[in-house]
Amino acid sequence: MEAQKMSQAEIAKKIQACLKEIGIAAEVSISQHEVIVYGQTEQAGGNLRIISQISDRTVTPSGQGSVAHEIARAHLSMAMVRPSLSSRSYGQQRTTTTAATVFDKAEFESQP
Amino acid sequence: MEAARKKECGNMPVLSNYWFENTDFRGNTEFLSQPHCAGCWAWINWSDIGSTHSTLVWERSDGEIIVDLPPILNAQDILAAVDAIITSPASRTSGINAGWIPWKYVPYYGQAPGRHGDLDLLVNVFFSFHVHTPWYCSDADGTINYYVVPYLDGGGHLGAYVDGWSYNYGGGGPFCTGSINDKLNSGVPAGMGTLQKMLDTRLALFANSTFSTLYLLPGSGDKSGSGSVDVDEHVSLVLLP
Repeated sequence: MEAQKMSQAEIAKKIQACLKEIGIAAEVSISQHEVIVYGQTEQAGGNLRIISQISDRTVTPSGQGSVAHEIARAHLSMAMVRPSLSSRSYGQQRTTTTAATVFDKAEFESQP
Repeated sequence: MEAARKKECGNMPVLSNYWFENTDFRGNTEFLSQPHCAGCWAWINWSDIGSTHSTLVWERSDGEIIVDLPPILNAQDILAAVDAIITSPASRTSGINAGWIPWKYVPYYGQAPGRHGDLDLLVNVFFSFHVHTPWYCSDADGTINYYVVPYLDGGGHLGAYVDGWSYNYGGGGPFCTGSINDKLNSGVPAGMGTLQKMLDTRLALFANSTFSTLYLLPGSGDKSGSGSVDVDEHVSLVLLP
């Protein structure tokens, strides 16, 4: 990882040097997994933006996680009553152990 | 006969009917609650419930203790604690919502599906955030979610724990999603401890009480009248002595 990080930094320096040669003062932003070289210049009356990214990963804009299984189990072992809609009945064909009764039209229609 | 009827009317249960926009009791929710005498019919006429795909009906005791969650979670000390979870250049842009979510729709369900029952209800505590980025990226907007499991223990005491977290956002492209994720991946999981402390403080208020039943109701748990609420964003916790 360290070797790769140095390599990313070296690539960024070379890009920065190339840009400097053509008169563009670029800056470098370094984070754990990405190096970004970015700069702007005025040319022919327009604003040119130059951005290069060197990255060692593909990122999705989401994340999730949970507490350790042991912690969850410790809490759940104490739980006697929990909110749930999982107890079902179909009209009078079944009884339910909670006050909630769930009617699933698709399942009901599939009953013989 | 009439005397008996009047006597029964001292006890006024409530029939509540909920119609949900989506299957498995999710999304925008139309509700109607009808108080009625014990031993009497309660009836609901509703000529048009719109496009709904699941429904629940609940016969509610008049002994309910209703805890409307969003007002509690938007107390100043909790907001301040939540704001410490994400720091500049990210910031909270909404109040704190608390809806229900069946376990099978929680983002980390796939990591361990057997952890809860598919239709066990978790409380989804969430808020919106915004991230300012350098000029070479678009700003990002998204939501941070914490999933809370409420329960009664064997002694009838109320408990709750933070089961997990998630986030998602749009924007941050083309080069800043990595740094945004780095920030969120450290701050959001650490926020579980912060939220747990806040929950423990609130739960302490119920430490001397015992209950027989615990369930969730959409919205504020209104006992009469009709209305609509997004159950993904607003629920109440209900306790019976």
